Amino acid sequence: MAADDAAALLELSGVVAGYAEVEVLRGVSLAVRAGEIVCIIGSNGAGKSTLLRTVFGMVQARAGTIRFGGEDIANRPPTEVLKRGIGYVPQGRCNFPAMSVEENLEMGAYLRRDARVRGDIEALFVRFPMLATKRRDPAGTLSGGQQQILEMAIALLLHPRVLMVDEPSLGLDPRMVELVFDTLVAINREGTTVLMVEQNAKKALAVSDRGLVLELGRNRFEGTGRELLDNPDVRHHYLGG
Amino acid sequence: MTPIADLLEQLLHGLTLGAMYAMVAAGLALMLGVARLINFAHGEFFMLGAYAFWLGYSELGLPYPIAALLAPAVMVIFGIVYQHTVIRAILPRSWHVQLIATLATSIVLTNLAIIVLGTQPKEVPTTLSARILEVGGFRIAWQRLLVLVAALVIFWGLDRFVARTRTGRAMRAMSQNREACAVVGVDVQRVTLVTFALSAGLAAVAATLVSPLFNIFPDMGTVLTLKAFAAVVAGGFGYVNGAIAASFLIGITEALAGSYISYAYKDAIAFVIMIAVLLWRPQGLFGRRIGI
Repeated sequence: MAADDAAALLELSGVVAGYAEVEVLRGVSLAVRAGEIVCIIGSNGAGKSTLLRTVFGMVQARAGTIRFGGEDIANRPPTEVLKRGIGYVPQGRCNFPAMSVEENLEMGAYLRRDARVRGDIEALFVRFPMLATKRRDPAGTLSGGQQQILEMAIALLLHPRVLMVDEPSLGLDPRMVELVFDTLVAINREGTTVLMVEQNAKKALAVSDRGLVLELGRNRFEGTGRELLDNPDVRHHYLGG
Repeated sequence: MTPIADLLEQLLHGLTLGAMYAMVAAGLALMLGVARLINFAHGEFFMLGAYAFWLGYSELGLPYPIAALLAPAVMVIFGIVYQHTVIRAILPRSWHVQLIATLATSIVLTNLAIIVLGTQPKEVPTTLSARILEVGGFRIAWQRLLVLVAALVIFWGLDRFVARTRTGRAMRAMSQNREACAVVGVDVQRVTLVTFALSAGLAAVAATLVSPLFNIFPDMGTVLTLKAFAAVVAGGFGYVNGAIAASFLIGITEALAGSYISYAYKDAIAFVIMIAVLLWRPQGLFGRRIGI
């Protein structure tokens, strides 16, 4: 077990990245092992979302390395990152609002041309009954929580090895927050490694194997979910006392 | 001629005008939806398509069906070149840059046409434009019937393409949420390219269909762009079927007003309709739609 654990599936080392004149990440390192749930927390502007966007190739990495399954993927275009097995659910609404739920799932399989797409979509409808009852409805008419579940389902159609999720609980009512976290845990149990960014740090750390606290684009604290929840500094600054 | 036959004839003229506007406006709406850009050189695609048709049919003596297919093929290539040169460079820039660049392209193309082809209008009568169908005092050129039938087939095909094909869906997807497109792996560059090729081809098809009925001249595209733009705005800013419907409304009103009110005001009709729609329904004729 220990030997397997040591090999990181996704590994960032000294990553520097940002937009135009602004440097957001100033040397972030992170190792995500296969099968884990890893959570990134930190205040606004710490660089949490930028980290995910840099891995996905939407933001240029200016320095450092990003390795996935042992291969360098820094500054690869999003489509290539996607094909290599990293799925991404950005913050905010990320679906096609005028298309039906079913068409949205079909768009999730846009890069696939195999015959199993239909079966995978039906399997997702079995797994998420709330999507099945709305399959013909435009995605834009779903509630925020339903859209979040839909977006995760869209990402699952490419069977990613790592699923990156940005603020999945943002703007959801407490019941939906529970459902979204339960879903992420279930996705993880089925073998998908999860890397998430969350404002709702207590809840996120409770379901995570490990956590990373970012501060102004640098690593601040690292540890297991439990360790971070028990750390007085982290509690004081990031978990509201 | 009886008043009823006269009215019917004007309605049919209006429908053919509307079909022409609609083919141009549909392309404009597609480009707006997919690339978030208003191509003010779109009328010039129509003008160049018309000259390409004139060259093939009148100058080279090709049969009508061949010349009518060749012109759109040439314009599809032109659309691809335009996307690779002008559009790719201005897509990441602000709307001011996009406005000036597409408007500049329009002016350059119009003036190149004046230099190369002269200002003398060209006429391209075909066998179908000279042959008249007469039913009980009611007369219509076969070419107009061809325009209407072809337009119906084209709009049906376009609707199927956008609704059913992989690329058509990607076009709708881009018009609804660009970030989500990156997340599912849509090749945004390729879809934009297909959109410009398709829109340029549509404008040229319109040109080959109506050129036998009207004169061809270098600055014919300018007013057409503005009328198509009025149709796009009235139809719900980027909603393709809305732009098509608004185009027919403009075409019919223009024909009726030109005949019963004054021919001098016919070009103002499109804008009167646009303003009226915006006053009455600021979201466009068909409500606020998301995407094409």
